[in-house]
Amino acid sequence: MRRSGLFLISAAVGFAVAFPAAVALAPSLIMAAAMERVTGPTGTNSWSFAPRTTEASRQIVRPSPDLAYATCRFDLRGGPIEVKAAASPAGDYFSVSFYAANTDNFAAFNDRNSPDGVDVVLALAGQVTPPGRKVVISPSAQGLVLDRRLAPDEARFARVDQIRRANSCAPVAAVGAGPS
Amino acid sequence: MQVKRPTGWPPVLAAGLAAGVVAGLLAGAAFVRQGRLAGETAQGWTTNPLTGSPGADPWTRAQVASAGLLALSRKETVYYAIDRDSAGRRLSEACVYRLTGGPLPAQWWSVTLYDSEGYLARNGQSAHSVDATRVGDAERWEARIAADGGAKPGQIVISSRNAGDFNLTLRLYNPDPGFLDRPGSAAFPRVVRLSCGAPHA
Repeated sequence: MRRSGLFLISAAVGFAVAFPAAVALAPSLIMAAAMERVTGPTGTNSWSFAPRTTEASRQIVRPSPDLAYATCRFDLRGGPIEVKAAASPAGDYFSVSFYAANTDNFAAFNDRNSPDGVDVVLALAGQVTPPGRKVVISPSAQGLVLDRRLAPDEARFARVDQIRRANSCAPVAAVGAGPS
Repeated sequence: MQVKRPTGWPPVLAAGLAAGVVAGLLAGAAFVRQGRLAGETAQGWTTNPLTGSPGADPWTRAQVASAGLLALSRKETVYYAIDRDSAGRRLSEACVYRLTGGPLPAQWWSVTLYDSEGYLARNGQSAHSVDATRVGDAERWEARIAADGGAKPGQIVISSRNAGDFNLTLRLYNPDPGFLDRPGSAAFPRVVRLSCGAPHA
Protein backbone atom coordinates (compact mmCIF):
# COMPACT_ATOMS: atom_id res chain seq x y z
CA MET A 1 0.00 0.00 0.00
CA ARG A 2 2.81 2.30 0.94
CA ARG A 3 4.69 1.42 -2.23
CA SER A 4 1.69 1.95 -4.44
CA GLY A 5 1.19 5.34 -2.82
CA LEU A 6 4.78 6.28 -3.55
CA PHE A 7 4.39 5.07 -7.12
CA LEU A 8 1.32 7.24 -7.64
CA ILE A 9 2.90 10.30 -6.08
CA SER A 10 6.09 10.01 -8.12
CA ALA A 11 4.05 9.35 -11.28
CA ALA A 12 2.02 12.47 -10.60
CA VAL A 13 5.22 14.48 -10.18
CA GLY A 14 6.58 13.09 -13.44
CA PHE A 15 3.36 13.89 -15.26
CA ALA A 16 3.20 17.39 -13.81
CA VAL A 17 6.68 18.13 -15.15
CA ALA A 18 6.50 16.31 -18.50
CA PHE A 19 3.08 17.48 -19.70
CA PRO A 20 3.74 21.24 -19.68
CA ALA A 21 7.30 20.64 -20.88
CA ALA A 22 6.01 18.73 -23.91
CA VAL A 23 3.52 21.50 -24.69
CA ALA A 24 6.15 24.22 -24.25
CA LEU A 25 8.67 22.46 -26.49
CA ALA A 26 6.20 21.51 -29.21
CA PRO A 27 6.21 24.81 -31.18
CA SER A 28 9.99 24.89 -31.50
CA LEU A 29 10.10 21.22 -32.53
CA ILE A 30 7.29 21.68 -35.06
CA MET A 31 8.95 24.82 -36.41
CA ALA A 32 12.34 23.11 -36.70
CA ALA A 33 10.77 20.28 -38.68
CA ALA A 34 8.93 22.75 -40.89
CA MET A 35 12.11 24.72 -41.58
CA GLU A 36 13.79 21.51 -42.70
CA ARG A 37 10.90 20.70 -45.03
CA VAL A 38 10.61 24.11 -46.67
CA THR A 39 14.32 24.74 -47.07
CA GLY A 40 15.21 24.45 -50.70
CA PRO A 41 18.40 23.09 -52.20
CA THR A 42 20.00 26.49 -51.79
CA GLY A 43 19.96 26.16 -47.99
CA THR A 44 19.71 29.06 -45.55
CA ASN A 45 19.59 32.77 -46.36
CA SER A 46 18.09 32.37 -49.81
CA TRP A 47 14.55 32.23 -51.14
CA SER A 48 12.86 28.99 -52.05
CA PHE A 49 9.88 29.40 -54.38
CA ALA A 50 7.08 26.88 -53.92
CA PRO A 51 5.05 25.79 -56.94
CA ARG A 52 1.28 26.33 -56.93
CA THR A 53 -0.36 24.89 -53.86
CA THR A 54 -2.22 21.68 -54.65
CA GLU A 55 -3.63 18.75 -52.73
CA ALA A 56 -0.12 17.26 -52.92
CA SER A 57 1.27 20.13 -50.84
CA ARG A 58 2.03 18.59 -47.46
CA GLN A 59 4.96 20.62 -46.09
CA ILE A 60 2.87 22.93 -43.91
CA VAL A 61 -0.66 22.43 -42.55
CA ARG A 62 -3.50 24.53 -43.93
CA PRO A 63 -1.87 25.94 -47.04
CA SER A 64 -4.01 28.29 -49.07
CA PRO A 65 -4.50 27.21 -52.68
CA ASP A 66 -5.08 30.87 -53.56
CA LEU A 67 -1.65 32.12 -52.52
CA ALA A 68 1.86 31.78 -53.93
CA TYR A 69 4.38 31.01 -51.19
CA ALA A 70 8.11 31.59 -51.00
CA THR A 71 10.25 30.97 -47.95
CA CYS A 72 13.67 32.02 -46.75
CA ARG A 73 15.08 30.08 -43.85
CA PHE A 74 17.30 32.60 -42.15
CA ASP A 75 20.35 32.10 -39.97
CA LEU A 76 21.76 35.22 -38.35
CA ARG A 77 24.67 33.58 -36.53
CA GLY A 78 27.01 34.78 -39.26
CA GLY A 79 25.64 38.33 -39.19
CA PRO A 80 22.62 40.29 -40.44
CA ILE A 81 20.90 39.56 -43.73
CA GLU A 82 18.95 41.77 -46.06
CA VAL A 83 15.46 40.80 -47.15
CA LYS A 84 14.01 42.33 -50.27
CA ALA A 85 10.68 41.51 -51.90
CA ALA A 86 9.21 43.26 -54.89
CA ALA A 87 5.60 44.43 -54.74
CA SER A 88 2.81 42.55 -56.49
CA PRO A 89 0.64 44.34 -59.09
CA ALA A 90 -1.20 47.27 -57.58
CA GLY A 91 -4.17 46.23 -55.49
CA ASP A 92 -3.13 42.59 -55.18
CA TYR A 93 -2.48 41.32 -51.70
CA PHE A 94 1.06 40.37 -50.76
CA SER A 95 2.86 40.11 -47.47
CA VAL A 96 6.31 39.31 -46.17
CA SER A 97 6.25 37.98 -42.63
CA PHE A 98 8.98 36.99 -40.21
CA TYR A 99 8.75 34.02 -37.82
CA ALA A 100 10.99 33.21 -34.87
CA ALA A 101 12.12 29.70 -34.03
CA ASN A 102 9.28 29.43 -31.51
CA THR A 103 6.68 30.28 -34.25
CA ASP A 104 6.05 33.90 -33.17
CA ASN A 105 5.22 36.21 -36.07
CA PHE A 106 7.48 39.07 -34.96
CA ALA A 107 7.17 41.31 -38.03
CA ALA A 108 5.01 41.60 -41.14
CA PHE A 109 4.83 43.92 -44.11
CA ASN A 110 2.14 43.99 -46.76
CA ASP A 111 0.98 45.86 -49.85
CA ARG A 112 -0.80 48.45 -47.72
CA ASN A 113 2.08 49.49 -45.47
CA SER A 114 4.80 48.70 -48.04
CA PRO A 115 3.25 49.37 -51.46
CA ASP A 116 6.68 49.65 -53.10
CA GLY A 117 7.86 46.32 -51.74
CA VAL A 118 9.95 45.28 -48.76
CA ASP A 119 13.59 46.18 -48.15
CA VAL A 120 14.85 45.54 -44.63
CA VAL A 121 17.89 44.29 -42.75
CA LEU A 122 17.18 41.42 -40.39
CA ALA A 123 19.52 41.24 -37.41
CA LEU A 124 19.89 40.06 -33.86
CA ALA A 125 19.98 42.67 -31.13
CA GLY A 126 23.49 44.02 -30.83
CA GLN A 127 24.62 43.10 -34.32
CA VAL A 128 26.13 45.86 -36.44
CA THR A 129 23.82 46.95 -39.25
CA PRO A 130 24.37 49.31 -42.18
CA PRO A 131 23.40 52.91 -41.45
CA GLY A 132 20.27 54.27 -43.01
CA ARG A 133 18.58 50.91 -43.51
CA LYS A 134 15.29 49.81 -41.99
CA VAL A 135 16.20 47.16 -39.43
CA VAL A 136 14.04 44.35 -38.06
CA ILE A 137 15.33 42.71 -34.90
CA SER A 138 14.78 38.97 -34.69
CA PRO A 139 14.25 37.37 -31.27
CA SER A 140 15.97 34.18 -32.48
CA ALA A 141 19.05 33.45 -34.56
CA GLN A 142 17.11 31.18 -36.88
CA GLY A 143 13.63 31.31 -38.31
CA LEU A 144 11.64 31.79 -41.47
CA VAL A 145 10.62 34.63 -43.75
CA LEU A 146 7.44 33.87 -45.67
CA ASP A 147 6.36 35.68 -48.85
CA ARG A 148 2.65 35.32 -49.61
CA ARG A 149 1.04 36.65 -52.79
CA LEU A 150 -2.47 36.50 -54.12
CA ALA A 151 -2.47 33.93 -56.93
CA PRO A 152 -5.86 32.23 -57.24
CA ASP A 153 -5.36 31.01 -60.80
CA GLU A 154 -2.58 29.90 -63.14
CA ALA A 155 -2.24 33.26 -64.88
CA ARG A 156 -1.92 35.25 -61.68
CA PHE A 157 0.46 32.69 -60.23
CA ALA A 158 2.71 32.99 -63.29
CA ARG A 159 2.67 36.76 -62.99
CA VAL A 160 3.60 36.95 -59.31
CA ASP A 161 6.08 34.11 -59.68
CA GLN A 162 7.98 36.21 -62.18
CA ILE A 163 7.86 39.22 -59.85
CA ARG A 164 9.03 37.38 -56.75
CA ARG A 165 12.07 35.95 -58.53
CA ALA A 166 13.63 39.37 -57.99
CA ASN A 167 13.46 38.86 -54.20
CA SER A 168 16.66 38.60 -52.25
CA CYS A 169 17.48 37.10 -48.88
CA ALA A 170 21.22 37.19 -48.36
CA PRO A 171 23.97 38.23 -45.95
CA VAL A 172 24.47 41.95 -45.83
CA ALA A 173 27.48 42.83 -47.90
CA ALA A 174 30.23 45.11 -46.65
CA VAL A 175 28.94 45.54 -43.11
CA GLY A 176 31.95 46.85 -41.34
CA ALA A 177 32.85 46.74 -37.72
CA GLY A 178 31.94 50.39 -37.20
CA PRO A 179 29.00 51.70 -35.24
CA SER A 180 25.55 51.30 -36.73
CA MET B 1 29.75 -2.51 10.54
CA GLN B 2 27.50 -3.06 7.60
CA VAL B 3 24.77 -0.55 6.90
CA LYS B 4 21.55 -2.06 5.70
CA ARG B 5 20.38 -0.17 2.63
CA PRO B 6 16.67 0.34 2.17
CA THR B 7 15.41 -1.61 -0.76
CA GLY B 8 12.18 -1.22 -2.67
CA TRP B 9 11.58 2.52 -2.40
CA PRO B 10 14.01 3.88 -5.00
CA PRO B 11 12.85 1.45 -7.70
CA VAL B 12 9.24 2.32 -6.95
CA LEU B 13 9.99 6.03 -7.11
CA ALA B 14 11.93 5.65 -10.34
CA ALA B 15 9.24 3.52 -11.92
CA GLY B 16 6.53 5.95 -10.89
CA LEU B 17 8.50 8.91 -12.14
CA ALA B 18 9.20 7.23 -15.47
CA ALA B 19 5.58 6.25 -15.91
CA GLY B 20 4.48 9.80 -15.13
CA VAL B 21 6.96 11.31 -17.56
CA VAL B 22 5.91 8.97 -20.36
CA ALA B 23 2.25 9.65 -19.67
CA GLY B 24 2.94 13.39 -19.56
CA LEU B 25 4.78 13.38 -22.86
CA LEU B 26 2.03 11.34 -24.53
CA ALA B 27 -0.67 13.58 -23.10
CA GLY B 28 1.26 16.66 -24.24
CA ALA B 29 1.58 15.28 -27.75
CA ALA B 30 -2.14 14.45 -27.80
CA PHE B 31 -3.00 17.95 -26.59
CA VAL B 32 -0.87 19.53 -29.29
CA ARG B 33 -2.23 17.26 -32.00
CA GLN B 34 -5.79 18.33 -31.19
CA GLY B 35 -4.84 21.56 -32.90
CA ARG B 36 -8.08 23.25 -31.97
CA LEU B 37 -8.10 27.01 -32.38
CA ALA B 38 -10.34 27.53 -29.39
CA GLY B 39 -11.18 31.11 -28.62
CA GLU B 40 -13.77 33.63 -29.74
CA THR B 41 -16.78 32.39 -31.69
CA ALA B 42 -18.90 34.44 -34.07
CA GLN B 43 -21.89 32.90 -35.84
CA GLY B 44 -20.38 29.43 -35.49
CA TRP B 45 -16.92 30.44 -36.71
CA THR B 46 -14.10 30.22 -34.16
CA THR B 47 -10.86 32.17 -33.96
CA ASN B 48 -8.12 32.60 -31.43
CA PRO B 49 -7.13 36.25 -31.11
CA LEU B 50 -3.64 35.27 -29.96
CA THR B 51 -2.81 33.34 -33.13
CA GLY B 52 0.67 34.34 -34.32
CA SER B 53 1.07 36.73 -31.42
CA PRO B 54 4.16 36.88 -29.20
CA GLY B 55 1.65 37.32 -26.39
CA ALA B 56 0.23 33.85 -26.88
CA ASP B 57 0.43 31.54 -23.89
CA PRO B 58 2.31 28.23 -24.30
CA TRP B 59 -0.93 26.27 -24.69
CA THR B 60 -2.20 28.48 -27.48
CA ARG B 61 1.20 28.64 -29.17
CA ALA B 62 1.45 24.84 -29.17
CA GLN B 63 -1.99 24.32 -30.67
CA VAL B 64 -1.50 27.03 -33.28
CA ALA B 65 1.82 25.44 -34.24
CA SER B 66 -0.04 22.21 -34.87
CA ALA B 67 -3.20 23.57 -36.50
CA GLY B 68 -1.95 26.65 -38.30
CA LEU B 69 1.82 26.95 -38.36
CA LEU B 70 3.09 30.21 -39.87
CA ALA B 71 -0.18 31.99 -39.26
CA LEU B 72 -0.12 35.76 -39.33
CA SER B 73 -0.97 37.97 -36.40
CA ARG B 74 -4.53 39.22 -36.01
CA LYS B 75 -3.71 42.71 -37.24
CA GLU B 76 -2.55 41.24 -40.54
CA THR B 77 -4.96 38.37 -40.97
CA VAL B 78 -7.81 36.85 -39.00
CA TYR B 79 -8.39 33.13 -39.35
CA TYR B 80 -11.75 31.54 -38.54
CA ALA B 81 -12.57 27.84 -38.57
CA ILE B 82 -15.84 25.96 -38.59
CA ASP B 83 -16.63 22.25 -38.61
CA ARG B 84 -20.42 22.38 -38.15
CA ASP B 85 -23.26 23.35 -40.41
CA SER B 86 -25.86 25.98 -39.55
CA ALA B 87 -27.78 23.38 -37.52
CA GLY B 88 -24.71 22.35 -35.52
CA ARG B 89 -24.11 19.05 -37.33
CA ARG B 90 -20.58 17.89 -38.13
CA LEU B 91 -19.51 18.75 -41.69
CA SER B 92 -19.15 15.54 -43.68
CA GLU B 93 -18.13 14.41 -47.13
CA ALA B 94 -21.37 12.41 -47.21
CA CYS B 95 -23.48 15.57 -47.37
CA VAL B 96 -24.06 18.43 -49.78
CA TYR B 97 -23.94 22.02 -48.51
CA ARG B 98 -24.64 25.51 -49.72
CA LEU B 99 -22.13 28.12 -48.61
CA THR B 100 -23.50 31.65 -48.84
CA GLY B 101 -22.12 35.01 -47.92
CA GLY B 102 -21.90 38.71 -48.59
CA PRO B 103 -19.26 41.42 -48.33
CA LEU B 104 -16.53 40.61 -45.83
CA PRO B 105 -14.55 43.30 -43.99
CA ALA B 106 -11.12 42.71 -45.49
CA GLN B 107 -8.94 43.59 -48.46
CA TRP B 108 -9.13 39.97 -49.60
CA TRP B 109 -10.82 36.87 -48.19
CA SER B 110 -11.09 33.17 -48.91
CA VAL B 111 -12.88 30.09 -47.60
CA THR B 112 -10.92 26.83 -47.92
CA LEU B 113 -11.88 23.23 -47.21
CA TYR B 114 -9.43 21.05 -45.27
CA ASP B 115 -9.58 17.40 -44.29
CA SER B 116 -9.34 16.32 -40.66
CA GLU B 117 -5.53 16.39 -40.86
CA GLY B 118 -5.52 20.03 -41.92
CA TYR B 119 -4.49 19.48 -45.54
CA LEU B 120 -6.27 20.08 -48.82
CA ALA B 121 -8.44 17.06 -49.56
CA ARG B 122 -7.22 14.78 -52.32
CA ASN B 123 -10.29 15.44 -54.44
CA GLY B 124 -8.58 15.32 -57.82
CA GLN B 125 -10.57 18.35 -58.94
CA SER B 126 -8.43 21.30 -57.78
CA ALA B 127 -11.57 22.70 -56.19
CA HIS B 128 -10.61 23.57 -52.65
CA SER B 129 -11.79 27.10 -52.05
CA VAL B 130 -13.72 30.21 -52.97
CA ASP B 131 -12.17 33.65 -52.71
CA ALA B 132 -13.02 37.30 -53.22
CA THR B 133 -11.66 37.34 -56.76
CA ARG B 134 -13.95 34.56 -57.98
CA VAL B 135 -17.35 35.59 -56.70
CA GLY B 136 -19.21 37.56 -59.32
CA ASP B 137 -21.38 39.48 -56.91
CA ALA B 138 -19.54 40.35 -53.72
CA GLU B 139 -22.81 41.46 -52.15
CA ARG B 140 -24.35 38.02 -52.39
CA TRP B 141 -22.24 35.02 -53.33
CA GLU B 142 -22.74 31.29 -53.14
CA ALA B 143 -20.74 28.08 -53.49
CA ARG B 144 -21.70 24.43 -53.46
CA ILE B 145 -19.78 22.02 -51.24
CA ALA B 146 -20.17 18.46 -52.43
CA ALA B 147 -18.16 15.30 -53.08
CA ASP B 148 -19.26 14.84 -56.67
CA GLY B 149 -21.23 16.53 -59.43
CA GLY B 150 -24.57 18.22 -59.20
CA ALA B 151 -23.32 21.73 -59.85
CA LYS B 152 -25.14 24.12 -62.12
CA PRO B 153 -23.19 25.75 -64.97
CA GLY B 154 -21.09 28.58 -63.62
CA GLN B 155 -21.66 27.59 -60.02
CA ILE B 156 -18.62 27.73 -57.75
CA VAL B 157 -17.87 24.29 -56.36
CA ILE B 158 -15.71 23.29 -53.42
CA SER B 159 -15.11 19.57 -53.56
CA SER B 160 -15.35 17.54 -50.35
CA ARG B 161 -14.38 14.33 -52.13
CA ASN B 162 -12.05 12.25 -49.91
CA ALA B 163 -12.30 14.92 -47.19
CA GLY B 164 -14.14 12.76 -44.62
CA ASP B 165 -15.25 14.91 -41.72
CA PHE B 166 -13.92 18.23 -42.92
CA ASN B 167 -13.63 21.82 -41.77
CA LEU B 168 -13.55 25.21 -43.41
CA THR B 169 -11.11 28.06 -42.81
CA LEU B 170 -12.12 31.65 -43.46
CA ARG B 171 -9.17 34.00 -44.02
CA LEU B 172 -9.59 37.75 -43.78
CA TYR B 173 -6.43 39.44 -45.05
CA ASN B 174 -5.84 43.04 -44.03
CA PRO B 175 -9.07 43.16 -42.04
CA ASP B 176 -10.84 46.47 -41.67
CA PRO B 177 -9.80 48.15 -38.39
CA GLY B 178 -13.39 48.40 -37.21
CA PHE B 179 -13.86 44.67 -37.61
CA LEU B 180 -11.10 43.89 -35.13
CA ASP B 181 -12.91 45.94 -32.52
CA ARG B 182 -16.31 44.33 -33.15
CA PRO B 183 -15.86 41.03 -35.02
CA GLY B 184 -19.37 39.89 -34.19
CA SER B 185 -20.84 42.72 -36.23
CA ALA B 186 -19.81 41.17 -39.56
CA ALA B 187 -22.07 38.81 -41.50
CA PHE B 188 -20.11 35.58 -41.69
CA PRO B 189 -20.69 32.96 -44.41
CA ARG B 190 -23.36 30.37 -43.66
CA VAL B 191 -23.06 26.65 -44.29
CA VAL B 192 -26.46 25.07 -44.87
CA ARG B 193 -26.83 21.33 -45.35
CA LEU B 194 -28.94 20.45 -48.39
CA SER B 195 -28.88 16.67 -48.33
CA CYS B 196 -26.94 13.64 -47.21
CA GLY B 197 -26.09 10.28 -48.72
CA ALA B 198 -26.95 11.33 -52.27
CA PRO B 199 -23.88 12.84 -53.93
CA HIS B 200 -25.84 14.16 -56.90
CA ALA B 201 -28.69 15.68 -54.93
